[in-house]
Amino acid sequence: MTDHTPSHRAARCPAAITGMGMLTPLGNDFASVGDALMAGRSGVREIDLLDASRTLRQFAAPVEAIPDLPELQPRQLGRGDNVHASRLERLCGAAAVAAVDDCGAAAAAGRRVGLVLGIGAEQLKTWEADFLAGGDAVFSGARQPCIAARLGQALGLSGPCLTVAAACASSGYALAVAHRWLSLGMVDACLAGGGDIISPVALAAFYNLRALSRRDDDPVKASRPFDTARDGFVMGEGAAVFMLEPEAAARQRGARMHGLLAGAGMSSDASHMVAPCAEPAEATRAIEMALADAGLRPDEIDYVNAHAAGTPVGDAAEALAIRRALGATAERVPVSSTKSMSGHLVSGASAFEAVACLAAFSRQAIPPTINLDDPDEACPLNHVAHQARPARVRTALSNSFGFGGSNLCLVLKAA
Amino acid sequence: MSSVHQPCRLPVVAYEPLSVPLADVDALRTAADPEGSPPLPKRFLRHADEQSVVAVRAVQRALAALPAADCSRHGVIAAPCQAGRIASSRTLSQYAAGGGVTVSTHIVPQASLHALAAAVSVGLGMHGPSLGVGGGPRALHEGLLTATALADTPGVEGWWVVASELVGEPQLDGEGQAAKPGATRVEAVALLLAPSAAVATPQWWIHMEHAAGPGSAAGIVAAVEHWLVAATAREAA
Repeated sequence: MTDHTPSHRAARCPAAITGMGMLTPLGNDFASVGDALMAGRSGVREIDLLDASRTLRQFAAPVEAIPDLPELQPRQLGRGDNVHASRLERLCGAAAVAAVDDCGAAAAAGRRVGLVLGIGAEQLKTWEADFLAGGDAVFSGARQPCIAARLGQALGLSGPCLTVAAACASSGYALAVAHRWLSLGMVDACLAGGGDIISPVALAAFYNLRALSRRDDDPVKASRPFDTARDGFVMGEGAAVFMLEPEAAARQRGARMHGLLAGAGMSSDASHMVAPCAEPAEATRAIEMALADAGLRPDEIDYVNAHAAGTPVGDAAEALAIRRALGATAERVPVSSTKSMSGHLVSGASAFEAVACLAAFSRQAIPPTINLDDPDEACPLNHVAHQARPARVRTALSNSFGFGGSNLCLVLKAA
Repeated sequence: MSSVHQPCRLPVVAYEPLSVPLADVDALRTAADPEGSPPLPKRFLRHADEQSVVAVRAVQRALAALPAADCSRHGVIAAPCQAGRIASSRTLSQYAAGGGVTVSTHIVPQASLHALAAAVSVGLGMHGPSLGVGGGPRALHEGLLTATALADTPGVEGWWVVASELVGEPQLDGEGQAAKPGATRVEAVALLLAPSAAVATPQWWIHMEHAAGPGSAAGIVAAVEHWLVAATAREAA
């Protein structure tokens, strides 16, 4: 056996993004999503989950329609007659299929292609969907293969397939793991991203945690990152999946590149199972590590796509982390939170926000934070409020922070 | 481009299995911290998933056996199998009866796939990356695959790969009670992997081609013990 201990591994190089697929509240293709982001268009609306125990109006940012996927075999959960591919599975699957198509299916053929999906609560969502459809999977405990394994089989992938979860940073972790696999030569190319769905129980859980905005006047105004009047996030849903391959290989075959995944930084607050740490030493460290991983200095960053979900503590802590990590550069680097438009895609947020960074590269403009009428003094950043701002954008940081204290920062570059 | 999956072996410097009858998990929530391990915050495991409880205790036992261990720069890769099912069965039954107001605030932070990893890193003060992996029947293999990817993350001085499952998945009622609680054990295995540069004397190696083999029909502890390859540092070299 060839020993391949970590110390012998090759240095990491950027991963080229040669395909992408998405289903989001702002559209289901890159052009539509880019249009919506640059127009400051919100995907938030009133929804009806038929929960009679609630009297307030409920706002969220749903995906309008999730297609059936003929590639996926139906499956049976529990002992009931509930044979289906779940909504979450179809959502992630549709994004993955679109990424393969965008890359050019022929480009994937004959290569060892892996799959890493960031899905924070696949089992909970699957049990819930099954239960609400009359199934008993949660009671019987029958073990089923994960979505990543099923999708890998459906797509004929020969590389490793797995699911990772770091709450709201899940899909960012998926991208980081895929990037490492490429660096190690474990795969020739890798699909990576993630997604999440709005479900009645998850919505209720976040509501009861007081994590959601309780505004019930105007859905479009509800998601207000960095604004003084913010009071929580608006739940969204969606998925984004990328095809990653080594930059050199992509250039060699003349592939179209949407951008580069240049680095990632990861850390944990180790502070609380739910609340973000108001003292953001570890979030700062994640940003610093991402810059180091990408070989960039703070003054080489053109845009920060903030995690900023609209929670009072979280947004202020992130602003402090950005200022500490970027130093004096923080005064000039434009920052926005696209969650003001998309809502919070939870597990899928990090991948969706990578799409937003790629849109900034392709449009040479910074998508705005809408609803930022009165920037909080505790969040002193170079905000791009209300309207997109034309700018030279070649590099971007994208932050994602999650329950359990997960901190993740991605660095993306224009190709 | 050629397709090569390079063989990989992971150096293991600590290994702690723990297997507990389901009925005994509640006692473990409030048990005293093992001497020599970092203490948990007060009542930290009160709402934790059963697999998280056993996994955190396994990591504590492993740390207690390591001399002068500083785990503050450790990362955590947790690979539970169907974690959160007992809490979910209760939550869904309550939701059906009473709607959203009945949904516990603990279901997302304590029963999602990241929860076990978060319980270890938050409970024991580990600031390295923390993530859940798998969630299904191949979770341990997926956890090790992830470890191969992240092993050399700068600033991480050790990686805990923690796998867990219910051996003898119980049939549950709407209260989350097992029909035959005596037939179920909660098992967890904690493995501490060291970065390659720091490995002087690994206790064991995990060879990935072994770990890719059959799952854990006999339980996660038996599976890992089958995979661990005892070796001296000289033999490993």
